[in-house]
Amino acid sequence: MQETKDQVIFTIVAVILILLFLGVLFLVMLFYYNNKKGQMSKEQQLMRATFDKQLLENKLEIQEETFNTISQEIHDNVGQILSLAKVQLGILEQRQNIEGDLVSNAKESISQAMTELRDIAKSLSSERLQSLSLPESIAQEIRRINRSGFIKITAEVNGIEKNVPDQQKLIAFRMVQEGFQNIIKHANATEVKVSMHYLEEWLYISIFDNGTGFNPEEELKKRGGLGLQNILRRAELVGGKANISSKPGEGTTLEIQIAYA
Amino acid sequence: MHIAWFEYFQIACLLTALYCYRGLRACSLLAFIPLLFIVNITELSGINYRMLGLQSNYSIYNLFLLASTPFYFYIAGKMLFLTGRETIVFHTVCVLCLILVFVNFFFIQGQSPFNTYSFVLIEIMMIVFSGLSLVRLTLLDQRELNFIREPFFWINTVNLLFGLIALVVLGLQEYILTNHIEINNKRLYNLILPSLNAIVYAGYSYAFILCRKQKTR
Repeated sequence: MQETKDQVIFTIVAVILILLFLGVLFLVMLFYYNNKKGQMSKEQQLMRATFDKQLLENKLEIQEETFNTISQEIHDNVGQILSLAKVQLGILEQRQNIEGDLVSNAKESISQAMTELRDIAKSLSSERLQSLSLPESIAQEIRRINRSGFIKITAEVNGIEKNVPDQQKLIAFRMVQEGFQNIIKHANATEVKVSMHYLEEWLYISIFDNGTGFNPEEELKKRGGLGLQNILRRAELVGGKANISSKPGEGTTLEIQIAYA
Repeated sequence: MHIAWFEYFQIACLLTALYCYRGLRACSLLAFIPLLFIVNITELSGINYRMLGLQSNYSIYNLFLLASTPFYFYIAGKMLFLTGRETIVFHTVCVLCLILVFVNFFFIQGQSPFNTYSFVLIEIMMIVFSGLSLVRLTLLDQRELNFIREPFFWINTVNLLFGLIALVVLGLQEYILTNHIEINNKRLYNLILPSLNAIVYAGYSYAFILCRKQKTR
């Protein structure tokens, strides 16, 4: 009788253990699946990041090529046409013996247009930008914008100037350019201060404007916030950082950090 | 009045649930509070049934099955994230089970013997719901889940393990009782269930704390 009871107890305990084992096995399988899912998700994220980076690189490459083509066209084509027009006006002035301000005003306007176009061509040409240092390129861009008289941009350079690789330099300049464009288009600012600090490992650039300001988080979510997104993604592309801090009515600060290597 | 050691876990679980009230509300698990009240009252009166003038405590546990099952099913439904037709199927199954439990209590096994049929049926349903809930939890989210920090994982895990063990032990309750299946002069279910209860209610308590943390996160 006792033996039968022992057998029953043994069977019950065995059944419990088997069920328990199955339960635990089920949980282990869930853990395993969850782990696999996590790995796959990480791989997907990595792939997406690589794809995005490549896409951005290609986009920037195409953009640079377009800029160079436009710059070339302005220099070789539009610039030549304007030069010819200026010469023709000079000849007209001599032949017709026209006196007065009309022709000289027209010649002056053409000269101004040529200067403007030459500056635009310079700021678009990546070859030219690479031949200058970053502070020089930025100073040139500031001169060009300041000439419009709508806005006053001042710049200061702190620290000993260090060599920034061409790609980093070009991307940093385009980010600054994009920053200026945003200020001109949206900020309604009257003054802009640019500070460049050559730190030990980073080049730190800050652009502060006294404009209307905005909510960066909201703006970045919008489709229209592509300019801001471009700035942030460009910084990521060269292993740098960019930060936009702003509040409505308190102006905006764009901070850029670019590594030297 | 006697209080068994595992009841401290149940009382602690109820107190934790009350402390984590907001977390439970955020996780749609508020039904645990009345359920734990029922559990505590049942266990206290079940152990001290002689004080209540009862011959056995089976009727108390049978009433517990009637009172607690809707809450268990309601909580399971909340953790299953049901949609559309699934909700209809789930509710139909639950209502049918409840009808069977009531029919068993009033017409089949009656009120005095322990309602093993009802218990087995409820535990099978709880095993199925817990398993489905765990699968759903894993499959539903595209991200990798940190199970350790997931309250629903803990609740369903302890429910599943409790169900698997209790199904055998209490399913055979009448057989164990009549044949005196004992180890060290203790009936098999009296030997296993207290520890199992302690694990279950400790698991619930931990899940409630996680709910609270999720709320404050």
